[in-house]
Formats: sequence, structure tokens, C-alpha cells
Amino acid sequence: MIIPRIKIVLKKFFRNKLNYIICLLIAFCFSFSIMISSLTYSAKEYYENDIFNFVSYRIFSISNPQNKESLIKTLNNMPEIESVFDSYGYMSPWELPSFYNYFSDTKTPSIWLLGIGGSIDANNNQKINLTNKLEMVCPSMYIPYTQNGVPIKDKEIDLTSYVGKTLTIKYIDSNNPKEYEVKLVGLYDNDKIGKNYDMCYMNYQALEKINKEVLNLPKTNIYYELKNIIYEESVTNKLQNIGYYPDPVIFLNRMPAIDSLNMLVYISYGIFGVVAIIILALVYYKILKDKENNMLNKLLGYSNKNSLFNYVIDALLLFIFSIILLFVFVFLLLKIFKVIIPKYYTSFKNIPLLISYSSLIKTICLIFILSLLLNIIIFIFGQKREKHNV
Amino acid sequence: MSAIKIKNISKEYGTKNKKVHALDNITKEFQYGKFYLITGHSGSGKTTLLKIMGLVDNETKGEIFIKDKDVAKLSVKEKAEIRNKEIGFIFQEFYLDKYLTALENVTIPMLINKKYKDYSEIKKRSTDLLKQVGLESRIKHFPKELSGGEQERVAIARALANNPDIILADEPTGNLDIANEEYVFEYLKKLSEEGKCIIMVSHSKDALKYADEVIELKEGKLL
Repeated sequence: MIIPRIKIVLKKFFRNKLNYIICLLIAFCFSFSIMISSLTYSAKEYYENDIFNFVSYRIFSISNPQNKESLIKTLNNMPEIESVFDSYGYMSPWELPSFYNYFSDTKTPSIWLLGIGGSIDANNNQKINLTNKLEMVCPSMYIPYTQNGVPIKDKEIDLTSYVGKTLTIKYIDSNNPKEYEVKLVGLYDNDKIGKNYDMCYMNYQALEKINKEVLNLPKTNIYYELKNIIYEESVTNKLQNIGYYPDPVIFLNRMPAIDSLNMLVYISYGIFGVVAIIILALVYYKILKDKENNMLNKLLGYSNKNSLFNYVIDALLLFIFSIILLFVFVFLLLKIFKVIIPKYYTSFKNIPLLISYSSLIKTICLIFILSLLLNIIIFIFGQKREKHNV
Repeated sequence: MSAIKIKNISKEYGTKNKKVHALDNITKEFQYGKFYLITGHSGSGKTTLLKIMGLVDNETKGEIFIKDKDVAKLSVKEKAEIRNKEIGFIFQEFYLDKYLTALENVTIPMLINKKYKDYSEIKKRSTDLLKQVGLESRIKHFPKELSGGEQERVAIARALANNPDIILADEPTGNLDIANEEYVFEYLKKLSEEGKCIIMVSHSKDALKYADEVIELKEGKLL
């Protein structure tokens, strides 16, 4: 007679409003924590795979190595490294005469040219392999800086219409006024390199060639470009083991981006704590209410095994109902987060909000354990109280 | 064969230093077809005696036989089976499950009785029992939708669900008006005449006229 017993437990479960409240609370607090972990997960994925992996952050330099040839050989043998350059003037400032007339004042717009060995992630998911000709990739929205490095505010230039055209560049040093015509072959998303809206990329051999003509500096540093940012630590460790200490060409402070999410994580902990206390109070209330039920079951001849069966079914119902509500909440919160996050967390506006499946599975397991535990507690404490009351 | 036989039953509560003798060396035999009334002042041990006979509390000393079976030799599971099949309980507070209808409340003891193979059989018996206590029109009502008298009748129907031979009633009319009290006494009397052993604890003087035997307890002892 299992089915009718399950039906009775089912009816009791759905007729007890307390169960709805407990399920709602469980679903709400867990869905919120799922959303926070999903957001953190999405942000980490986005930063690791998209922002942090942008070419600027994948280039490292080793200053004044003792044995250049041996180091170049070692670096070339590392599978994690895309390209190695023994270069000087790797990153240099250039004026943009093409835009001189763009400003009414006397300020001179400029760019930084950075040499790269591999490809660059350009807009529209394009990967552009720069050749050793005079061609470059610049930010979509160029914000010019003065020669002193002061941004010229409210003078953002949309470079979209310049793609495929040539721009004139002139080395900042006024004693050597040589100009070059460089073809703009593509654009990249400004957000990928923080606030440096004047950074353009050129093949390192092409850049070296023009740098050599305008600068006459000795080659002191070795540069290497990682295939992926995930190799950073392993390559750094390998090099440190043999006495070289690489530095990133553009320092990337990863933590603030992720840390800004900490507030949300603390909020979710707070919600979790408050809800946990409410759930405990409700469970205690349920224990008091179930005291009669336990006594009644015993009087009607229900063995502990029979009573426990009812509680296990109750736990399963609590679990299933909470999970259904959890999915509803997650769906709704996903919609809300997609509206709120870009508004209040502008640095995450491009993050595709992904549900963290590992966190979802962990949560489902946790709710299952919690449902069983709650009912076992109610059963055990109900039994104890019943002894005093019968 | 007697329904219940108790021999030298004693029950003590409290610690070693401060003991309360709820029952003191009680011996009594209860027969089928008789209506027993247990009376006595509050704290005289009436309810304790009923609980021990109903196997929901343990005696400190003595022996209990239900249908000549020595209860001391029974396992917890076997005791639960006796409570389910051989004994029906009725209480002053009714103890109905508030989330279940009258009909569903009556089905509960039958759901774990292996005698019933089919739920429709259980449902039919529950309906019949509720008809017998005059509640055919209230079977789908929840306890809160029923009056005290009606709730007590549902409790009686539930106590009879597995057709037990022994009915233990603890102040079943304590919360009822005179008309409903009379109905309950008469119904229990009828059951005793049908061959069941009815043991009822009551303070009501009206109960005396229905009882075949009155057992008076004073400070845990039989008078």
C-alpha cells in the first residue's frame, strides 16, 4: 500500500502552507547564491578568455638577459610561447598628423604603437594576423592624448570609417620628423585594454624597422608573446627557475574587476544567513506542530520505519518543489541581472551571463541533503518531544 | 481469553531521589463485551494506566497480557502492530490530522494494515464507518470545518478502522456538549455489546450508567 501512503503525504505536504514558505525561502536564497556564483564565474571566464587574453597582456619582457642567445633558444622551445623578439623600441609613441586638423587648439593627438608577433582579436570575432608591412589595428573609439599623456576629453574619434585607409604617423621626437603611411587594417574593442584608448598594434618586425630609422637604441630586452594568458604562471615559473624574471609589458591588475563582485557575494552570504535563521525557526515551529502528528502515528500503530518513510517522502517533495521554484527564481533573476548588471556594474556590461552548471549541480545536491536533514531533524526531535508528551 | 490482563503493574516517574508513584501494584483483567469506566481525581494515574495498556508507555514493574500475549516478549514492531490492529484510541483532543479530510483521517490506520490490498477497499470501509457515526455528509470536510462533536465522531471512526477488539478512550467527551457526550457513550456502549472491550477514562457522572464496571483509582492504587 505504498502509493496511497505517498498520496496522503503528498496531500498533507501541499495543504500545509509552511512547506510553501520553506520551499520558497530555500529556492530564493539558493537561486540568489547561484546567480552570484554564475556572475563571478561569467566574469572570470570573460576576463580570462577575452580581456586578460588580449594580446597586450600576453607580452612579457626580460631586461638585459645575460645570455641572450641561450634565452632566445629556451623561449623558442617553449610550446606555450607564440613568438620571441629580440627588439628595441618595442612600444613607442607616435603623433597622428592625419588628425592635426581635428582639433581647434594646439594639442597634438598621438598613439602608442605596440609590436606583436601573433594575431590580434579584432572586432566581429576577427583574428587579424599582421604582416611585416606597414599596417596596424587600432581601438574602435580612439581617444587622443596630448604628448604629455593627458587625454583630450570629449574628443573621441570613431575610427570605423578609416578601416582600409592609411593614416600618417610621425615619431614624437621633433628632431627626427620622419613620417610613415600606415594602413588601418582593423579595429578592436576599447574595453579590452582598460583606459588606454590610444594603443595601436603593428607587427613587431615592421615596427622594429621604422623604430630603427627614427631611434638608435641598443637592443637590451627580449620580448615573448604567450599563446594564451593561462600559461603565464607556468612560463614565469620555468624562467624564474633558470634565473630570468619576466615583466608584463602592460601591467594588468586583474583583481579589482573580480573584487568588485565581492560586495554581491557578501550580500548573498547575508541573505543566506538570514534565510537560514528563518528556515531554522520555521523548522522548530514545524517540530512543535508535528509533535501531535508523531504521537498520533505512534498510537495508530506506525512503527518508526513507517513514520520515517513518511518523512523521507516529505523530504523528497520538499526537494522537488524547492528545485522547481529554484529554476523559476534562477530564470527570473537571470532576466533581472541582465538588466541591472550593465546599469550598475558598467565594467561587466559585455559579460555574457552564463549559469555556472557546477554551482547549479552542487546546489541541487545541497538542497537534497538539506531537505533530508530538515525532515530527519523534525522526525528525531518530534520523537523526543513526543516521549515527554504522551 | 481476556482482552487485557495486567499483573502487579507499577509506574514511577522522576529521579532516584524524588520518585512519584503514578501506579502502584495494580492487577486487573479486562474482558470482551464489557464497558469499563476508570474514574478518579486528577493525578490518580488513570491516563498512565490507559497508556500502559495501550503500549505507548512502559510500566516500571509488572506484566501485561494482550489477548494472552505477554507484551514484554514482543518486539517494538510487534507492539506497533498490536496498536494498529488490536487497539483503537480515542482522545479528548481528537488528534485529527488537520491537513486531511475526515475520510482521509479514517484511512490512516488502514494504510499500514497488510489485510487491505486495495485502496478502494480502504476508502469504502472509511466511508461506511463515517456513515455509522452519522457523518456521511461530512466526509470531505477538514477537521477545522467540523464541530467538536463531529471531530470526536471522526476520531471514533478512525479508532474502529482496523476493527480492533479493544477501545481505549481517554476523556472522549471532555470537550463535548451533553448531546454529543450522550451520543459517544451510547456508541461505545453499543460497541461493547457487539463484543468489544471498552475501557474509558471519564470524569462524567453520566458515564456511570453506561459502564458495566467502574474502576476507581486513588493515588495510583485500585480502590
